[in-house]
Amino acid sequence: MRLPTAIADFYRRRNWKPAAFQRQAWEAFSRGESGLIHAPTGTGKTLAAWFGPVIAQLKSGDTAPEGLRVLWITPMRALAADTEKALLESIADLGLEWSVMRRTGDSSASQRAKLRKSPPTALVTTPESLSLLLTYADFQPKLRQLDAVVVDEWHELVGSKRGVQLELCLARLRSLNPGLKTWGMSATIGNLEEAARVLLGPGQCPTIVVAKQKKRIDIEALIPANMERFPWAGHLGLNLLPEVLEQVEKANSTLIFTNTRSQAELWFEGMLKARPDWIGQFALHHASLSRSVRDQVEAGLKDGSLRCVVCTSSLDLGVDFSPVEQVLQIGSPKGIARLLQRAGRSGHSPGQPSKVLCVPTHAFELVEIAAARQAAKEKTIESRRPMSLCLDVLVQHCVSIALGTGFTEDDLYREITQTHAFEQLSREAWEWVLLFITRGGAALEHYPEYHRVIEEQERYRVESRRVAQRHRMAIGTITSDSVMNLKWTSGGSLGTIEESFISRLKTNDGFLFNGRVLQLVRVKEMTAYVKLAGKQTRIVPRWQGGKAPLSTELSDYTRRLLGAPDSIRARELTAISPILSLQAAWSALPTEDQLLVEQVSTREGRHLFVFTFGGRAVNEGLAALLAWRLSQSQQITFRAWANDYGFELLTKGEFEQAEAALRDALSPDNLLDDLVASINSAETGKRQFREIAQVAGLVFTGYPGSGKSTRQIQASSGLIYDVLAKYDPDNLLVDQAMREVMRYQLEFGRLQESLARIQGVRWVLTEPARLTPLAFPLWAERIRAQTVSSEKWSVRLQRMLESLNKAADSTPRRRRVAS
Amino acid sequence: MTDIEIQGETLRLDHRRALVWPRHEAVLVADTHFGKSAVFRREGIALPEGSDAADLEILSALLADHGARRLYILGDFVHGALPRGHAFYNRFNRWTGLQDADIHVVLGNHDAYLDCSALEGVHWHRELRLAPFHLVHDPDEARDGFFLAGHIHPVTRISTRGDSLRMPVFWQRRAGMVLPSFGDLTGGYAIEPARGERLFGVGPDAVIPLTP
Repeated sequence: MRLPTAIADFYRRRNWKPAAFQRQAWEAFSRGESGLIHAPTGTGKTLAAWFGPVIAQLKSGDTAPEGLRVLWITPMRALAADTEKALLESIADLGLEWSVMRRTGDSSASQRAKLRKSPPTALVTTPESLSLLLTYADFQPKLRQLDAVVVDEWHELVGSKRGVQLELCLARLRSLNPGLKTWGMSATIGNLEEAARVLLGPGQCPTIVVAKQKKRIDIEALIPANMERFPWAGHLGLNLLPEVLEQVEKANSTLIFTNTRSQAELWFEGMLKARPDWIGQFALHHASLSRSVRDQVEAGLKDGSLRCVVCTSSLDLGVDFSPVEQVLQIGSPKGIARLLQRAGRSGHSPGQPSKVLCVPTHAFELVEIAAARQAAKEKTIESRRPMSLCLDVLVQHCVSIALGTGFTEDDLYREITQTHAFEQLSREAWEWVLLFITRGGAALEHYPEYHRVIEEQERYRVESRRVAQRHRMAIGTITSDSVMNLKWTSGGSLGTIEESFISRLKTNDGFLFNGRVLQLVRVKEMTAYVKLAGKQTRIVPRWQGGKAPLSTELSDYTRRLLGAPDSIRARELTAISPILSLQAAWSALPTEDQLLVEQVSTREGRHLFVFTFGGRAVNEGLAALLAWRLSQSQQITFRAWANDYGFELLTKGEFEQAEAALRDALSPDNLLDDLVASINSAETGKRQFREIAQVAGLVFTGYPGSGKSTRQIQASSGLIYDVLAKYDPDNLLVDQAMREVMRYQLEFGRLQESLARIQGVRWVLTEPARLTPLAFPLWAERIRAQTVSSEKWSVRLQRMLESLNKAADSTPRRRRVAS
Repeated sequence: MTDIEIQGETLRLDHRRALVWPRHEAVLVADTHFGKSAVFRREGIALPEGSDAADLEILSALLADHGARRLYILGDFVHGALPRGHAFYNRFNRWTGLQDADIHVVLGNHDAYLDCSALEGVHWHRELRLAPFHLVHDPDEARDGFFLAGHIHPVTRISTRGDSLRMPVFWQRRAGMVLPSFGDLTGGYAIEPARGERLFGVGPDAVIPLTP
């Protein structure tokens, strides 16, 4: 393809050359194709997508086209501003009279109104803002002239409900203009082609353009000098602080990634204490800090004035800054793709590999680091599986469209079944959705406030202003953890903090925030007021365990290496070998063709450990299943815990299980029914329903500043779940909650595979004298306990009271029964 | 069922969150919060009706099982302002018509906008003295005698390393007894008993003393 002179000049002036993948993308666009561009950040992928429609315009000779031509969707508001700037720069340079605007949740009301009246040539926006734009009847016709939609960072959206929401919006855009071209951009994921097909919808053939990647990425570990004293479990990991400081000292700029906000807080505070002379060159970056603080840090990273930034996934994507000299990762890498992406933030000098130095916080993370390296070497990387049949998102979308132009039943059905997510939507489910938005479903039929949409002469529309207003405010599928504002008593905002954490504190308790110890003064509505803490303040740790699970791929590799530590040469594995020897001596190593089961008695009771290495989600499901099945034949109460490696069941008193009984209880027969029964007793479905209730508009999150606590909303979604389950059992949203639990929380497919594997291997049952190195982390980090019981309430309570009384008799302290 | 002696009277704690006073042939409950689904709906939370009818049935059963001739509701009878003509008025009037017992309601803070005239056959009280007891809604308003009150919705959690249970409780204090909230869907307030106070845990089929 001959490039228009303006484009050739654009490159010449910068001493650049169009990359091969850029040319491929432009050519595909000019042929009218749609597809996906796969290129790493900083290689010119924006221009690869952007110049497609630009070149078409230049060739047409019309430099000042009418109406909206390009829609640019970005998953993050923070990215929108940078993108808008980049697009504007190139336009000015090319001599085009295009206007570019952005529309995000941050835009002011007057900007939004102006935009709807006279849209720009190119609009940068988010999936939520696009949905919102579709609710305005006067705006939809303006989308008919659209040439191209570009979806940036599609890999971030594809596995989520936001992705589903965008699929529906894209289907609408294609209905308005069948010639519309869709281009996505994605970082490395395991299922690139599937992602491309999801973007375009079923029956389309996407063009995939791939940029050549030459860059090597090195994954290394900081190995503790003294392994004997290195912990077997825990996430604080400050043991290696001196070594980390040494590394930071060596480089001009360092980025330290952590896995959670509280871990970032701890490390930041630890480093400040150790090196007070570095104050001012050090900063903290995470999503709870106020926008202005984050902006300052990002600016500092851009101009190179900061020596070191401790951050969370808040800097994983979106924020554009020049590469730092080195990247450190504290704690488990959690996923291969994520680790590679983080490594990519370092050393872009030509010929130099990107490098990430992993800092383990406990011994087994050494194995995970070696596993991540091995997986990357074998080019194994996580997939992002698209979601489907999310009726909550569909309900929301239908109300949006009814509010915009209105719709007829058949037209909209045809349109939404053009998406990957709803390709399989049955006519019955579709009719249920229509009934739900017009009548509120069986349980809510008698309440006019749930008749959000009215049907008149076969057209579905929203008439009520109140419904319209509420709906526009509630659009979106992100239901984040509930947060509260954090303010000084003297005025001034510090950022936000998890409501669940604040509710655990008492007045005058202290906690760490942005390197300072703060003291809680009072909580009023949705704001926590604090002051600097005095020396005597009791400090409450905010740590709640490593929440993000290990990816499937990474846990597979971890099992491989743990079972056969000699299979590859890795310094990490040499370092951990004394601990693995201990495991082998006390019990056994969990090799790939065996299942290791340990039964241990301690003062707490009888522990059963099963190491499946199926990943946390699967292990949680297996724990609930096993506990439930075992409790069917006897009156017994279990507490169950799981981590990525295995799960633990704890029970009081004697409990001896032979292999045959355990094998029987872990049989794949009747799996679905038993699993549903077992997780019902653990109330998992209710938890999942929170999100669904909010997305489907069953719970209204309140007007901004109305001070309604998210916890209240979550509590009420629990009530709704109970009531719907009782009075409207055919409600498909309740059904969806169950399906989502199966598929995404318990990963039913993987669970099934896991059970099949377990049945096929040899079982090694051991009876160690004490907790083994593998069992210890499960014991020490008990998070998210589930109770499964077939005993009577009164039996359980009596036993607990007895044990509390015994404990009270043996300690001089005053007994505490209630808490 | 658990019997306790207070002020020379025998009181019976029923797991249906009711206090029974056999000598007076009375059943006492607190914080029924009738009509709460309507109030939730007004706040934008989708809840169908249903629990009111179920709650009234439990009250009937309590009266019948204990052969009681008096029912005392210790405040927060309704959850919030109910519009005139709300289905609850009719339902409740129909229900009272079928009872052999006298219905007494001590008004609570949630009852401020209650349209008392729309409900038939109910004795309304600000507070009520039935020696040796003083029936109030909010324990803080009790001045003399041994109070029987609601308002707080007391709950507690019992945890050991191996198990954990959260439950509503009867909270026996020096000056009186706080009843658990009768209605479900009303949440609870975790209390810390002071020295000398007693807690009785309420389960699905029993009431069990938590403190000696």
